[in-house]
Amino acid sequence: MSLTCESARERIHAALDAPDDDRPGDVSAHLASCAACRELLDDLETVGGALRALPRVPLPPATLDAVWRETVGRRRWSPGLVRAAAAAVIVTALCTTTIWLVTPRGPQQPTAAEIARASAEAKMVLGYTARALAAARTAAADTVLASKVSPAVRGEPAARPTRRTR
Amino acid sequence: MTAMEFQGAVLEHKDRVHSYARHILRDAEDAKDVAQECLVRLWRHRERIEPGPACRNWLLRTAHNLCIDRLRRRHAQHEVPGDDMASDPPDARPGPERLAQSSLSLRALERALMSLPERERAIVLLREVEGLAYDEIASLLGLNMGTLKATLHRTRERLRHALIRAEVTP
Repeated sequence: MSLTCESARERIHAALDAPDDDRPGDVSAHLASCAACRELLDDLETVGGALRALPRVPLPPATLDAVWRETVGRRRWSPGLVRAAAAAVIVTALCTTTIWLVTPRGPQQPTAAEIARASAEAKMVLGYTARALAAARTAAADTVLASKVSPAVRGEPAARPTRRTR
Repeated sequence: MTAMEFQGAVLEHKDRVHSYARHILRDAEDAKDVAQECLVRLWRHRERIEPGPACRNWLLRTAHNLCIDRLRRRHAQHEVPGDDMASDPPDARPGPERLAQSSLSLRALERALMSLPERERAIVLLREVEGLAYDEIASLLGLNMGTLKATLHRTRERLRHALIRAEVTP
């Protein structure tokens, strides 16, 4: 039994949402024989196509800026972010301390008073050393002389000569 | 939805929400306000909204509700033109009143769209412009499927009729 225009109308609307291949056979048969319904379908497809092609009205940039300001621009620190920031501060402090401890530092520059005191101490040590060297030299000379010079020269009693035996 | 996903969703849907509000409200300033409020609400509720189609539907639902609130506040039911068309029966007659595709201008289409009552305009926008499925529209607008389909079919024919009349009327 062929469809009437009235009963075909609902099915034509349903057919708008389906591809041509999925269109029921009785609807296709009715469309083939009814110019009015064919025109209706063509018009509805035209209107649908034009609606789908309607250009969007862009949101003005000032309104978008206001959205950012009221949302991500007003972001408060979450507990997780606070924890991460605290951890970053601690790590930075530890790194700074470690670097300070392991970095070799050059000798400090002495003050003028320290230089003067060290200089005086060095002179005193050198003086002691010079006197000690002089005393050692005298003692060594005495030892040498004692072994080379006769006791008479030195004012000591001469030793008795030993008798030679045959 | 993370903060980064929120920013992506805003960039993806801002024009969609603004256009929808503009078509429903027919007022540029109100449409901007609604779009802004809608996107700020998305930020406040981002913890329980997933990106993707769910986010799109949530935005359109929120935009629709905000638009309806505004229309009620300004008593839009007295301002909407074209209500007299509601009593016009769909024109199924063959004959000279054919919609000429070549002369279907954007202006005529928008005028015909604006002549529809808000609910019908919302249904045809969500279906034809935004491409939502029937069940998504029914859920978004709180309609049962039978009412939705019948209203959509009637609205399509009213749009066609309005466009034909616009073309034949100087």
